[in-house]
Amino acid sequence: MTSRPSALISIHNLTIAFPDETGERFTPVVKDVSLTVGRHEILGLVGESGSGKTQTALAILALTRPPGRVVGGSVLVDGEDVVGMDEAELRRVRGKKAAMIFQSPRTSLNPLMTIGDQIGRVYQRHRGLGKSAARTASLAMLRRVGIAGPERVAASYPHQLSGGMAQRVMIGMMVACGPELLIADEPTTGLDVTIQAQIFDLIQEVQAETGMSVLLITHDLGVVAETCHRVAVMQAGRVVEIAPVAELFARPRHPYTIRLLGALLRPDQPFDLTRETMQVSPETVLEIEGRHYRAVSVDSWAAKGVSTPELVEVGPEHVVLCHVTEVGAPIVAGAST
Amino acid sequence: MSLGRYLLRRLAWSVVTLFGVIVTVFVVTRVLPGDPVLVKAGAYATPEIREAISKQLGLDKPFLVQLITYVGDVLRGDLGESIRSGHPVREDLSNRLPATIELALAALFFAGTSGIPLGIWAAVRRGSWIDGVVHQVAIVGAATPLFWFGLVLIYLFYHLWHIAPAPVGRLATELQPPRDLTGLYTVDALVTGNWTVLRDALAHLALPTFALGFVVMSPFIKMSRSAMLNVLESDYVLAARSLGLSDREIVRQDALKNALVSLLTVTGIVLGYLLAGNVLVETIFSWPGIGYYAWNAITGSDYDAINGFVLVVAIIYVVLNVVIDVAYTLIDPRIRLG
Amino acid sequence: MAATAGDVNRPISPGSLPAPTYEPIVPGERSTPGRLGWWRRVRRTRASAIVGFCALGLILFLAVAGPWISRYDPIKPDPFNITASPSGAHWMGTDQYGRDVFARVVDAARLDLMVAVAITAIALTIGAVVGGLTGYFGGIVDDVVMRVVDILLSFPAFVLAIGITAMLGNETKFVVIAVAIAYTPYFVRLVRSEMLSLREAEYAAAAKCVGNRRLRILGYHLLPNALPPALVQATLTLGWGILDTAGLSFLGVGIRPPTAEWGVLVSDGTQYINSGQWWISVFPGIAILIAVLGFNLVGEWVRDAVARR
Repeated sequence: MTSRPSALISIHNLTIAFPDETGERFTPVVKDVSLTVGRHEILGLVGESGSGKTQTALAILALTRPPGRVVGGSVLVDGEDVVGMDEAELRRVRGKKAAMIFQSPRTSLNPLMTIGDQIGRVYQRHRGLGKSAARTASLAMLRRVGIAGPERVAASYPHQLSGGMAQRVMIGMMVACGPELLIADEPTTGLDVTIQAQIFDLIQEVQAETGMSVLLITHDLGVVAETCHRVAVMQAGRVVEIAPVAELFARPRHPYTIRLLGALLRPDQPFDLTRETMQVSPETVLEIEGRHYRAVSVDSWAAKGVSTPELVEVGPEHVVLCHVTEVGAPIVAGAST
Repeated sequence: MSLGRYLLRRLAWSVVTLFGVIVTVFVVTRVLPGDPVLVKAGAYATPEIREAISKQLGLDKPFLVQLITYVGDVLRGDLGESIRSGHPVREDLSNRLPATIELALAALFFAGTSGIPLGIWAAVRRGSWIDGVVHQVAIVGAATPLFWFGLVLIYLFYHLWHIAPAPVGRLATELQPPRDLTGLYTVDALVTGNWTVLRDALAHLALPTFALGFVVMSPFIKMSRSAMLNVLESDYVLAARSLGLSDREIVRQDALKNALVSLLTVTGIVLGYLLAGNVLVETIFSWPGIGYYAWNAITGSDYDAINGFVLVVAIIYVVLNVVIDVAYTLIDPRIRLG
Repeated sequence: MAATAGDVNRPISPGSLPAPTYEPIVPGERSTPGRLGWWRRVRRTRASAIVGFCALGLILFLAVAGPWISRYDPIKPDPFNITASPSGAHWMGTDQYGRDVFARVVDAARLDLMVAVAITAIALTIGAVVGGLTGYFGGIVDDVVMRVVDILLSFPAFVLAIGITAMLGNETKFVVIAVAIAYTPYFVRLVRSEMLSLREAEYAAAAKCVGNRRLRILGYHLLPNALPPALVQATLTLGWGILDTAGLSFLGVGIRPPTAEWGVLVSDGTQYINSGQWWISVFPGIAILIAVLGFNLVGEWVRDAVARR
């Protein structure tokens, strides 16, 4: 028996592409993405819509929707590469090693099946319980996730639940599987602010109780600041920065991250950003000199023999996507599409 | 709203529709240009006969009175008299209805059991060559003229290869029909254990069923494929897969039940095709149903019979659609519980 | 420590950056506009659509150029050549009057195409106008019209057409009217439902603000956008029109012999099928199949093209 790898999830150079309607041209939506999720940690994955966050997460469970496919890289779940696994093996991974909750919980539930039946079958499948034992367990789980009147809810159908309740049900189904990683893809979109807070509290509770890791996908930096240990920032299909939460908020390096944080309007910034630099677009090239950010003209940038960008370590556990020049000093560049 | 109120509203609406159907047929028969007197009396009738017939048809009365009389007649079951047979049209049609039902059910069964699995298969293997072939079968089926296809089948299977019996009805002429329980020869023969008749009835049923079924298969294929695709690409199937449920479990538990709802829609459409197509198929195979009766009525200018046929077909169609609506409410809790 | 304005160069605007140095991960074709472009587009079209266009092309060609290709008169009987099987002289054989079947099929192509076009044009026009108006104005008129439409849709279209032609008579124009009446409700529903969703669209409100009269909004802004689904349906209806017309004529309630119409031709040969003279019925049927198949395939292509817009 080999020892368990330290990182629960290890993604290396993952590229996912979708063909256009003729099937000839592929457009990559996830480009050369590498990141890891450690055991017992909460990793936040932030970025705008279309940045590839969801696709990256789906790849962990090998759920990339055809006709899209993984065209490069590997995704190691507890040491095993799920890329290229067949269905039978994948069924071992899904639910048991990693499970996912989605953006719109009500459409993630079968509209023609009662809630009780849906949670019940998870218990039957993953815990091997019989029908009545599964029913008892489902009721207990509904109570556990904070749903009042579990008998009534177990007899209802998804369209009769509120968004918040449906998401609790989804979390319950997840916990019933007992996975080592919970992937939460924008779990509170469309929910009331107070309900949002409750859902995140619930996730943190479950995480503390079971010790599972969480990959939290969101575009809400405030939530990240409060709940996550580390953060990865994605833009246009690439990972542009990964850092522990405090480090990212204190010393963001990538122009895109800076712009994201700039929107938070924090008054006590450790560096001074003039109004102009705040207008920085992702494609702007900046050169780091001390703590001032200088824009570099295209000619001098090109003249330095710029190569394809890589994730370069710029601090403790802190990597940024940069062009590395011959000179040796990293130039922080935006990822253009 | 509750189930009861929904059903009540639906039934009320279908009553209105039925009434509208009767009025429409009346409009078609009386208001359109064409001289019903000439038709009934013949070209050589004298003015006196014409006047007598005109009075008999009630054509001298005002429009509204004629309409009310007609509606009253229909509600009492009086659809006029057939010129050729001399019997009331209602009697003629009800005698022949079982034959049509037998053929329609057989075709429905054939089309459903072939079309639905094909559509589902194509959906599960989306984008593969199977998908392409199934798609083409559906398209060709929809483009095939039914009457021609029946003739081709007769030529191949009866004339050329001598596999099928002569297309002259439901049974070989020397055999007696089984005891009349449902009017469906196959069912009656099966129930009474009359194996010779059963075999012969099935042999006669085969070709017309295939002809009608092949053309009608197309909507089954298309709809079951798209319903299955919708389900397979839905959020809840994705969520179920992410929980590690197997494809077969998902198809069985999630997909099929949801696809069933769409299948009901198809059945409604297909019924329309069947009710229309039966005229053509029965004519070619001399199948003694209401469609064949209609064709004979057409060639014999038997207008009461033709209109009676149109009316009865529409009524059947409305009733069946109501049944389908009720079935919807039973399957889909979103409708049932509001 | 604030950076002085002079220290920082102007940010480079996105447009002036050089193209990315990243290679496409999976090599794809680059599009070549210009002369070769149209051939690329043909290659990209689905095979089924190409088959559809070829089928329609064939039928159109026969309809237009047929009389010059076939060497026989479709109406004149030839008593010395009855029910001759297909040969070099008669490509599709002759019927029971000695008439060349190919000439008849080609003659019928014209009639069937014209009838299908007439039916579709009538149903589409009336349907679009009625559907557009009731969809836009709504109210009681809309309710009444939709009830009438529902009632008409309670009849299977073919059966309704039988009822109407039986009453009207056996002339071509009556067949066109009957089938058009049967099809119109579908178009009314289609255009109306498009109109209902477009009515709320922003640009209608915007046009109103600018001061356009309602009819103008309807005609210039809304209707052109409500039409595409109806146009897709129209290509399919062309095919159905042929099927139903041929069916009606086959039953004897539509177009009558000796006029050459595909359904009439099939019925001409019915009693000869069992004596082995299959060509009289089979070839006209194949013509129907090709024509309707063509319209169906092209209709699918149109639907995909509209959806892509």
